[in-house]
Amino acid sequence: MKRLACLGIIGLLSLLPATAETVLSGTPYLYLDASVSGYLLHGFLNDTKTALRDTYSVDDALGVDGVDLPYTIETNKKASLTVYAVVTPFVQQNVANPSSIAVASLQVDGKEIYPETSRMMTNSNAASDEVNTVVRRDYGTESIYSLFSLDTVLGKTQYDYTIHVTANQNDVATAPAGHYVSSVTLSIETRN
Amino acid sequence: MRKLLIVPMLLIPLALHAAVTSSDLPDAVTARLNGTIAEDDISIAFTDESGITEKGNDINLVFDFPVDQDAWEITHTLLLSCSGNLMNAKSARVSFDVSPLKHDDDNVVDTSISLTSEGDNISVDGDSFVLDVPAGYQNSVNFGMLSITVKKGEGQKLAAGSYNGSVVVNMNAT
Repeated sequence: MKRLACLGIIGLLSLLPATAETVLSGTPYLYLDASVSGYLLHGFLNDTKTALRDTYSVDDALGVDGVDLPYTIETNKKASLTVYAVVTPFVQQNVANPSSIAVASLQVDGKEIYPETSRMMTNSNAASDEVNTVVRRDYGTESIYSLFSLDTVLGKTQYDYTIHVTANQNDVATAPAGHYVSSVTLSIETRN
Repeated sequence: MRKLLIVPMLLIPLALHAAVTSSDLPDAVTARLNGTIAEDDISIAFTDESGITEKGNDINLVFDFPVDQDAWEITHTLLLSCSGNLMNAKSARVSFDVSPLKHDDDNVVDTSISLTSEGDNISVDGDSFVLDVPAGYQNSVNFGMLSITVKKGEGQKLAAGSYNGSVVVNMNAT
């Protein structure tokens, strides 16, 4: 048994130089693993255009010239997206029976967008396993606008848009004095 | 070995090409658009019998005295309207100080006013209108008629010359 063990060890030792020589004579490979996370972000660019914010506030929005909202989508994914907006009229604040001022015009990069009356959309009230349930949502005083569709491309990660909102000037001329607020809520949907 | 190396290299582009699903979508973002409509206090306008409206300016009424009558009475009527855009309702009192038409202290024409209210929430209290002006936009809402009457009694003698008088309008809103 001891003789057999010694022969085995000698045999292994004699193989070592040959094995090492084989590896060194081949091409060495270094395997590098990395991954880039996919991201899809949207929001309003801050004043220095360096960060996206998910809320934005603008004053003097009732003027005849309207106001601009600097909207941006950032992604490194390839996707077909549609952006839509839910827009409320300007509603008078802090009064028992508030008056409202309609939104007269909404433009994206200078192109007029007209509101829809209802939309098939993801049911946000559904349970998590039913998140893709599609329901019809009808709008009362709110208006919904399909703002634009976008096919993202690799190599470009930032997509900038200017959304321009103008209040109805006839309503402004006859509205009761007070503070008015409108909200513009922007959401992204995937497009089939 | 080269085939094995290619596989992980392909994984990165494939990850970028992965379809965006509903669960990848970011939450909605919201912009708040603020606007203010400034308060505009009550102002009064007058419309004369020829339909000319004056707002905030003096108005000139001409009374042509008859020369062929011993006694006469002339009336001019003005329509009064108010405009404004109040945050809160106000009560306004519009009163009038009358200075009669006169040439001099010995030649004065009897001058009087009468008020007629129009519409709801308007009343006449002596020589004043009392208005309840609601909050909100009001554009030329008629609230009353102001009649200015001048008269000469029978046998009254008036010297030749020009006669001048005035009606000063005061408004006190609370």
